[in-house]
Amino acid sequence: MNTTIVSLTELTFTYLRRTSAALDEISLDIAPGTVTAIIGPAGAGKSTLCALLAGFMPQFFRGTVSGNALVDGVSPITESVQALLPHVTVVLSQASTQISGVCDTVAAEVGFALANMGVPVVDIRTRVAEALATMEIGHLADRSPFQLSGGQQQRMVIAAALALNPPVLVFDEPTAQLDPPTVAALGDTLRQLAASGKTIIVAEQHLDWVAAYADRVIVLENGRIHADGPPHTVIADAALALGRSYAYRLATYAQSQGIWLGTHAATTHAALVAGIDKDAALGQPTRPLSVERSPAGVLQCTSVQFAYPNGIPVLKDVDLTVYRGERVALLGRNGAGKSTLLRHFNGLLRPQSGVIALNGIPIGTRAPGMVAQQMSIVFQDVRNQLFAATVRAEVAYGPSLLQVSKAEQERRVTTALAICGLTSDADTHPYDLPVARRRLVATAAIMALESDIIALDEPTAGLDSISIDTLTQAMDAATRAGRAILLVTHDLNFCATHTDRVVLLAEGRIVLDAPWSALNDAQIAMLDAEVGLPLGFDVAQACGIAAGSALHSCVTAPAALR
Amino acid sequence: MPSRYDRLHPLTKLTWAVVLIAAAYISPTLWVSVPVCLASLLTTAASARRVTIARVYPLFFVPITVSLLLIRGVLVPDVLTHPLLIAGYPLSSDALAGAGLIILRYCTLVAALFTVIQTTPTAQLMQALAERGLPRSIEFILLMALQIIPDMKLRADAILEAQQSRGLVIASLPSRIRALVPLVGPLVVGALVDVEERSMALELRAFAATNRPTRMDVLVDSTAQHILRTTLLLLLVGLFATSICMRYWV
Repeated sequence: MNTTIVSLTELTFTYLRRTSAALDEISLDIAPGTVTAIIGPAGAGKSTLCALLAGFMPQFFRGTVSGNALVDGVSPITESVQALLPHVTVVLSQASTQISGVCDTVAAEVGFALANMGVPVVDIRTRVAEALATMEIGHLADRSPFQLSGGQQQRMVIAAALALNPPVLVFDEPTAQLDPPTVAALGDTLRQLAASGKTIIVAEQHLDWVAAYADRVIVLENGRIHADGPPHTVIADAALALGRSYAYRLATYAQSQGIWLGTHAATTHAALVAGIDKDAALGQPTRPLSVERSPAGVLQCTSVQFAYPNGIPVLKDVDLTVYRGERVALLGRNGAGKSTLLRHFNGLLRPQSGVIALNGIPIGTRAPGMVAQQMSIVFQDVRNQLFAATVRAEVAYGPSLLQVSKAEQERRVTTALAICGLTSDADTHPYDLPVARRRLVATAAIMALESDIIALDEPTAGLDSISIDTLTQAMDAATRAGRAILLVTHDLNFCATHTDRVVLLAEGRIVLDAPWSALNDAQIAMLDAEVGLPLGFDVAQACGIAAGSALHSCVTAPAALR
Repeated sequence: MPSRYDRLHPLTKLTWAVVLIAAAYISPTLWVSVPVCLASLLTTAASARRVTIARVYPLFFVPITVSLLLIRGVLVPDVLTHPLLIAGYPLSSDALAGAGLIILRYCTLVAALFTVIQTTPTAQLMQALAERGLPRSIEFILLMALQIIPDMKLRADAILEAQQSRGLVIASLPSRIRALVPLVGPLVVGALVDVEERSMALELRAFAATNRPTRMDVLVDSTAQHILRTTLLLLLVGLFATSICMRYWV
């Protein structure tokens, strides 16, 4: 039996007109039937490696390449992408741009490559049906690919790769737009594929997901291999992983609180459950059971209802108040209505009934731009926002639209650049920055408005741990200034660490609205059923620790995952 | 539920539309243009989507009809020689007849083509043309042109939302002019980035494969439709021949 399906020998790639190599003398062998994770900070070379394995270098992305590479016995350096398809395919990180644009339906899109390769119709139908079922989007088969949500599009492009059925599958940040249940399901699917003999290579930022599903972890830094080994070795060592998983943080915190039985930090859920001392005697709960709120509600939604023109109701009697200085997580599965509700908060959408008020004044027919000083939003796709020639000009655009003096505009820009760690990049073109820092530029542009409430839509998607730390600092600064933060995200651990309160939306209704610290067992079960649980809650539940107890408060404390 | 017209082979519908359009443009008089235009509207009526299609016709027809009547009626030179007073304004009757002819041709063009496009999935239309020898590259360009429109519209909407969410207000003409850069900039940059990434997507979907692609849909055709298309094509040739004869020999 062949023990190597992917073999790289001193592989170096330098993009055209760049002086430093994106991949620098990479040598590695990957065994078939395994899941290999590529991790590392932004700009480390993860995406470049994925693209190279699929045959995009140097034919598509021009540059110089040296060394050797073999994938399933074929060279991705000399062969075309199309010639490599029976051997390897890649799923890129941005789902919306992987839609071919020439298919009417999801089923046609998933089977498009097979049709182009001349596969018989019967086989195409079978493989498409299987791939759609695996990604749980069979019910969307007849929809237009352009009508899907971001998460659904992500599932569709993964299904298209699965339908090709090559021996090697490469994924570049596949979980970025998926909700937690789908992320877990994807992990299970990849494990099943590996068990059936497929080789899976995943570039990913989520260290906990990597620890749960990978057989091997390769850490890249500045285009070089920094570390290589099994997850329990690499992820358990922050210096090797160049970041700390949430499991590692929780285990370390448990050690500091004297509730850890193990001798070394855990990297997986199972190891955490085994390591927590369930009988630890603690004093009073370490978390307050209620959050101190300002009496002033900055955003108030009352009986909001909304349906799109097709008549399907999206929001049903939504009541929500967000208070000044508060941090709220708005959670829900893909398609639960989160984005629709968010667009109501600043008047991008108007409710068909009910009232939305900012600082007690109904939005009414005011244009969204008119309420930017009260409510602003950083959307997920920052390409829709960035247009200026420099980071400073981009950040200055928002304040220039407000009725504030030049000096005040300058102060806001300087402050926003500082809290987002962009002062040194102020004169750089936003598109010359790595994608993760571009997201910070978009965040700084909104922070400069100094709105009473700032909504962040999937702010951690694609961010490495350094950028997440910077984002956290920016959020902290905004909160200290009395502004409310509203997070719409699938990143449950980030939410549980950086928000006070959770609002759960299911099928257009708010089914849960409570401080994290006051969740009871029934509410935790509801959250688990809809979107899953943050790590601390999940471990506490697996350990049988009752909500409200001192031990539960300790395990689920925000500090545990900070 | 698709109507009998909707279920016709895409090429049958397309040939019928082309013949109607050719007849409307070749005809020099209203006596032919009026029934041809009516035939194109009846084609719309034969479709199951007639209500949806007819709903957009006023948007196409009213502005062009009003502008043509005014422009041709008022500005053509013979307005002073054969004036026709409407509400006190002198309009040329001959010029109005000319405007009517153009309007009928335009209506026929829009109704005939729009009905075909609205009742035929783009992929099926392209498949029908590809089965008759349309090169794959042309097929791709046509498909992209037709299908990329909704994608661009979604992106434009998302850009507008993103900029409004940071304070952009579009109200007066100056504000609209000022909004041009923040709205068009991301659209252009996004389109350029999309082109690159979509090219990658097409590579990954083996679009450049040289072998004969599998067609997922079997297009239903019949001998009767084949005869109908041949007859229509002969009619089309006859129309052109008649047109040339009238121009040079009559």
